Formats: sequence, structure tokens, C-alpha cells
Amino acid sequence: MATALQQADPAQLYSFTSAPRVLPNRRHSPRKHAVHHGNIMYDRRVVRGNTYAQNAVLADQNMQSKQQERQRQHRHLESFRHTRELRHPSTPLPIEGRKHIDVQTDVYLEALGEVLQEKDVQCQTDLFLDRPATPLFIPAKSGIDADTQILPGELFDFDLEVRPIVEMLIGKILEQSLLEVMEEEELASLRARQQVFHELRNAETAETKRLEEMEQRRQQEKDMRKEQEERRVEKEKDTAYKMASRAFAHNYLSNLIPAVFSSLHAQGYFYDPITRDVESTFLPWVVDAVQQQLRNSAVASCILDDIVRDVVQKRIEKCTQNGRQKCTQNGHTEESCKIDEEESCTQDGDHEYDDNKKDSIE
Amino acid sequence: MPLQETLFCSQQIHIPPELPDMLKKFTKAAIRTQPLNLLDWATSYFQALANGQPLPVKDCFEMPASAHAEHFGLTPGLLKTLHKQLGHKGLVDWAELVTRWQDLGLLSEHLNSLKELGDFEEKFNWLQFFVLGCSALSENLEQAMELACKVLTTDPEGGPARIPFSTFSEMFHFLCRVDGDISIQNMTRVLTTLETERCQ
Repeated sequence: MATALQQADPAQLYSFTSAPRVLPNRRHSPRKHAVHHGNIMYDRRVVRGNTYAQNAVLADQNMQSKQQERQRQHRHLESFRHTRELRHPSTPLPIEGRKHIDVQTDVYLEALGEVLQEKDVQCQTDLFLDRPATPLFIPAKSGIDADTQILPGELFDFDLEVRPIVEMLIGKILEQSLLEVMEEEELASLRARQQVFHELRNAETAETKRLEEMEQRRQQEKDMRKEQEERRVEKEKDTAYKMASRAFAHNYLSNLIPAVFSSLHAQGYFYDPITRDVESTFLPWVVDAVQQQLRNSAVASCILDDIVRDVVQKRIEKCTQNGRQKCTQNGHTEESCKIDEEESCTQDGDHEYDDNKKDSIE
Repeated sequence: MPLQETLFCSQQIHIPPELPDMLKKFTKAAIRTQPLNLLDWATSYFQALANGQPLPVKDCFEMPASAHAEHFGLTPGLLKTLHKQLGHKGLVDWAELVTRWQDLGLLSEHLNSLKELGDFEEKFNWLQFFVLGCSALSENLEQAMELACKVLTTDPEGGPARIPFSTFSEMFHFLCRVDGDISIQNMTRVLTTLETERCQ
């Protein structure tokens, strides 16, 4: 038990060196005067209250009355407790023939297994509880008294104060919004007109472009046609030239082949073998033969001529005497007349005639 | 910073930084659109802004027509606005169109007359309604198609207003059908000539 107590309250104000022991007090007997129990709390001789304060002496005057009061209270409490105990005794009274004896159960002590949490709480009355409250210290008046009164109209009135702010706000807002709306309108109308203008301009540029393109195309077309025409004319010229040359060549050459053939033919490249043969062999022979014949006849005629000449000469010699009339009466050939004439000319004529004869013979 | 419990001077008044910007945009939209009923229009504007939908704002300023004028108070700008808001869907609910129509300050009787003309049901093709509106604004078919092209085009204003050929033919079909005067042969002839021109 000792150790238990020690452990239970380490924050105790006092500590003990000897273990407390159970006092042989007669708790169950009725309470007597304070002399008999040793509780110092209820000892009249013990000074209660603080013993270190200076004012303890001053409080002595009240102490007595307080002590008496306390005693009175205590007695009252005791009596109350006494009556209570009498009404409900803790143990029953001994029956007949028995006597209750207080027994020391020291030996039969048993340690309490269950450790109850104990806590000691102390309280102390206020230090100066016995003292009356000090009177309020009111310093001596110094300074000047001033007073004020709120006159009507000086208190803050929200509606009044807010008015200029609101007026300014509304006015500003109205002004600015009007300005802005007008600005926006202006801008919008400007933009609209610009758009219209753009549209017109676009349309016009498109139109001009189209016209330009058309013009260009026409120009191109014209150039192309001209070029085409030129080429055509040139081609025509060429063709005509070619045609002419061809015609000429054709003409020129048309006779070529027949001419060639005819010339060849004429030159005797194409020959009929029989004809050739006939010509080459037969005809010369025939000609030769004929020539021979002719020569023969020529010779014959020459001889004849000679004969005739001789005759004629003789005759001439005769005739010259007679005259030329007899020549015409002869049935001589022309040849003989000729001979006559020739003979009549000169001797040159004779040579010529001889030459002629030779030729014919050859 | 929330409003302090006690304000002592005017410098403590805090203006949210987005406020001037938002107000300015709103003012500009109002100036451009010139709605007849500013309050209703403002409601629809802020609702559309909060929902992230396209705003009922005309793109550019045009002189406002009164609700009782000819053409039902509809203008090309308003048509364009409607198209911007509803054009991304193919089929549109009639109720939604009614709300948008009224938000722009147009009268609902005119809307009903258009509905009868086109014979629309609860869900209808937006393009058809749009082209009917265009025809209500123009004098003949040609002008109607021209207006439709101008409104639908993505080209900058004043430029050539070009739209996809399929859209054009669809609108043209519908108009011819509603008109009744133009025979189908004429229509097909026109479409084929346009298509051949397009292909060139």
C-alpha cells in the first residue's frame, strides 16, 4: 500500500519518510469533541490561513468571529453526521450476548490489486478574499471639459452621400456609351462603304481583265492566222515550184526513155539478130555484089564510052568538017552528048571525067 | 467587402468593379436596340445574360419603327436579332418564340397572323418562319430572298451577301409553296439555273 500510494501521486506537495500506518482510531464510535481526533484541519488551535502574509495580523479582528462561525458550522455538520449515522449505522448493532470489538486486521492486509486513479486537487481561496474591495480610484479632475452634440444632418446618410457618386457614374456611363455607339456606327458604315467599293472595284477589274484577255486572245488568234496564211502561201509557192519543176522534168524526161531507146536503137544496140546477121553479112555481100555488078557495068560503060569516044572523035574529025547538026540526029544517049560537050570544053574535063570514073569503080 | 455597419464618410462607399462595365454594355445595347418597353426588354436582357444565351440586341443601330407601322414593326435588324437568338436550333418551340418576340417589344397579334400564314405548329422549322418574316418586309419574292441573304450572310456588310446554297433553296421552296402563284416548274427551273451558275 505504501508503494502504491507513492507511485500514485508523484506531484504531491509533501513526501514522507515513514510509511503511513493505520491509526487506531475509533471511526465507528460516535464522534466526541475535537480533542479526541487528531485531524489538524479541525483543530481549533491551529492557525488557518497563510502564516506568511503581512496582513494576517490585520485580519485577526475578523478571525474570531470567523472562527466562531466556523465552529458553529462544524457543530452543525457533526450533528448532522451523527444523526445520519444513527439513522443508518454502518454495521449492525451487536445482538444479545455479543459485543463488537475492534480488531486489527493488520495481518490480514491484502494489497489492493486495483489501483484507483487518485488525483489531488487543491484550491485556495483568493488571497485578498477577506479584504473588502478597494474603492475606485478616481483621480482628481484635470483638463478642460468638452462636450459635443450631434446635430441633425451630421450623421452619415448613405443616400445623400452616394448621390454624387451615382450621378457621376451614370452620367459617365451614358456619355461614354453614346460616344462608343456612335463610333461603332460610324466604323460600321465606313466598313460597309468600303466593302461596296471593293465589290465594285473587283467587278470592274474582273471586267477589264476579261476584256484584256479577250483582246489578247484575238491578237494571238490574228497572229496565228497570219502566220498560218504566210506558211500556206509559201507552201503553195513551193508546191507550185515543185510542180513546175516536176512537170518540166517530167516533160524533159518523158522523151528520155524513148529517146534513149531510140538512140540506142538507132545506134544499133537493140538488134534483131537475124536482121543484124542479114545486115552484117548478107547485105554487104549483096552490096558488094551489086557494086561489082555496077563496076562491071561501069567498066563496061567506060569501055563503051571509050569506044564511043574513039568513034566520036573520029566522027568529030569527020563532022567538024560536016558541022554539028549531025550530032543531034544520032540516037546517042545523053551520055554521049555529054561526052561531046566535055570533049568540046577542055582536057581538064577529061581528067574530071576520069576521076569520076575511078570513083565509081572504086 | 460588404457594407460596413456604420459608414462615416463617402470614401467608404464601395462600388463593385464590374458594375460600370456591365452598365455601359447594357446602355449601349439599349441605345442600339431602342426597345419600346425598356423594362421588359431589360429583364429579358439580363436573363439572357445570366443564362448565357445570345442577347436580344441589334447588331447595329437603325431607326426604330413604331409597333403599329406597316411590316408589323419588324425591321431587318430585329429579324437578325431573332435569328441570332433562335437560329442555332433547327426546330423551335412556339412558346419560346412568343417570349422573344414580346421581349423585343413587338406585338403578338402580328406574330399570330404570321403563324396563320405559314401554318406553323408547336414546333416548327426556324428557317421557314424567318423567311416568312423577310417576305413580310419586302414587296416581292426577289426582294424577300435578297433580304434573307443579307441577314443570313457571314460576309461583311456591303459585300457580296453569300449564304449556303442548300439554305437558299430550302427557303425558296417554302416561299414558293406558301405563295401558290409560282408553279413548281418555274421554281425548279430557277433553282437548276442557279445551281449550274454556282458550279461554274
